[in-house]
Amino acid sequence: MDRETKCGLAVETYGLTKHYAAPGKKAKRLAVSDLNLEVPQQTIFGFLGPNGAGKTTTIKMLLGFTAPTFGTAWMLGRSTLDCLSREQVGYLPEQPYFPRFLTVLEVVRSHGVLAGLSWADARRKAAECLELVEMSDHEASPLSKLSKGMMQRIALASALVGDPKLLILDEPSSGLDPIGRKFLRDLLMLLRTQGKTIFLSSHLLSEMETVCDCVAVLSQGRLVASGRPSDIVQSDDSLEVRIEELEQDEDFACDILRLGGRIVANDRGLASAVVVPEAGLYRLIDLLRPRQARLISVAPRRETLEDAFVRLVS
Amino acid sequence: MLNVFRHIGVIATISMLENARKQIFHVLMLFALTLLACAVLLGRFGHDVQIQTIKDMCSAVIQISASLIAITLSVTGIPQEIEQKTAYPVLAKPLDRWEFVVGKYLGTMGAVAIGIVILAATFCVVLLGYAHTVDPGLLLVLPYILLEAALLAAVGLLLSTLASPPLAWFLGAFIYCLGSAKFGIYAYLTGGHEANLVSKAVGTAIYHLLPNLECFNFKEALVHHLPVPAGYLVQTALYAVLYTAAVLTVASYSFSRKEL
Ligand SMILES: Nc1ncnc2c1ncn2[C@@H]1O[C@H](COP(=O)(O)OP(=O)(O)OP(=O)(O)O)[C@@H](O)[C@H]1O
Ligand SMILES: [Mg+2]
Repeated sequence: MDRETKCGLAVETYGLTKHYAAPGKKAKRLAVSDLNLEVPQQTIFGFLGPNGAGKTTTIKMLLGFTAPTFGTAWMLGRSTLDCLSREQVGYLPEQPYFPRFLTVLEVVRSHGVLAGLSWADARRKAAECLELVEMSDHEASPLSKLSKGMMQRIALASALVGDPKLLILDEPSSGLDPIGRKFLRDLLMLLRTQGKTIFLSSHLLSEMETVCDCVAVLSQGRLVASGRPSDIVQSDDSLEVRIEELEQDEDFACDILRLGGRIVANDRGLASAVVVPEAGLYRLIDLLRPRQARLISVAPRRETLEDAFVRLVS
Repeated sequence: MLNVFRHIGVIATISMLENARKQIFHVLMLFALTLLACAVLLGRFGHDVQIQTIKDMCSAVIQISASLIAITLSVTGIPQEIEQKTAYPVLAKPLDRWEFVVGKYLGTMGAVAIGIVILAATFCVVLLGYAHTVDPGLLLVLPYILLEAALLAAVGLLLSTLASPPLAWFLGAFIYCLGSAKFGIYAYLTGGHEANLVSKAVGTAIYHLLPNLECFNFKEALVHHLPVPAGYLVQTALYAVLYTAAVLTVASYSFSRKEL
């Protein structure tokens, strides 16, 4: 079931839908509904959504764990119904578990063999990947002796060992400490420069904003937004000016209103913020000068991805 | 093709190591060894038939234990992997579900073989102790015990893809009992004057669908040094292999349709 990939897409889904039988009810539960995704190659794609939005279900359909009720999905140009579509794919499960009596190296090596390497190659690649996730020191430890975050790193190494073109990571930063998360972020960037595509589901929106080239937001099984993070967040042309020691009076408030802005009083500590259109900045400064207010910062007012996310899913 | 062998090899090896570590396996082995000891103690009463009785009972103990271990390990193998989520990283690799099923099956059989070897070694030690010799002809029963266990493990694996492990275990044990007494049941249901159509149909269905486990039961002949024709041995082995392959095919199909 090969075909030409549409301008180098790593993942494509068309009308992907999954119904689960809801217990005790006649009606079916819609886990994913009519999902159309196009993930270009060599990008980091963020797959966002609140709990129960259908992210894991979508990933399960991509990997052939469950069959879609309707729709089709393709990975690297191959239908997901064909097990060879997973040939170039590495997967990190939401909760990675491996047989606990095996040692770290044995697990990663066995995954290398399952990914199509020979025993000797798998041994070499496993050592390399453990080095990459900074777990070389634990090669000989049995998995039962590892912490959750270490397990996550082992799972990542197992996903990477076959040198896949596409990585599907289901909440990879869960269980990692802040240093681990930064490490993961850097690793993802590095992998992208090596030409890999990364399909990443996560709740950590501030992180997603910095690493992802594209995101899609899912809510109750439906796609509610997709595009570059900067396309999704709303921004107007206004600036947020933070000011300390501002004596406010009626005149000042009227002047700000005339500039088309508004005052957000005492939002953080002693500071107030004034939101004004970009064109009114110098007029505002003129207003502040005679009042001897202390100007702390001027920043373009923009939604964070988190704000956008809350707006989109609520 | 090479990849298929590698995949199955990895899954089977890990699964065998895992099965050999299971507590239930240790308990069943301990139980079997206790039964062997009991058989030896029982055989010591009558002085004349001592060795015959010991041979007879010990081989029966090995056969029943191997069958029970095969059913028990096979019905828990795949469901446990799914419940403990260890199956997901494996199934996300470029392999077909049938490779997973066959790998798990071979892993189970590896553990069963380990069990049989341990029991057989104990048996040989007992024989050496009492008779000062081990009759090589008698050891012929061991591969057939393994074949019977192989057939039952395939049945157990199929059942585990269809039902919960306790139910699958119960059904497996039931099939084991029915299969071991198939001719008797068939004769009972279809023979006699009052046999009606229903019981005839049931009897015939049982006869054709259930595994014929009686054909593995020639240990008495070996114990009593009666000849077992080579043709019979070949036919029985072939039967076991074909039945097992057929059941595994159905199990693979059933597992590949399963939602994980
Ligand atoms: N095996 C299942 N049987 C029935 N319903 C299911 C099953 N798996 C998931 N669901 C339902 O499908 C919906 C989507 O679940 P899914 O696990 O995809 O969410 P998610 O986006 O991954 O959430 P989270 O962020 O919590 O991981 C939920 O309503 C869930 O209850
Ligand atoms: Mg999830």
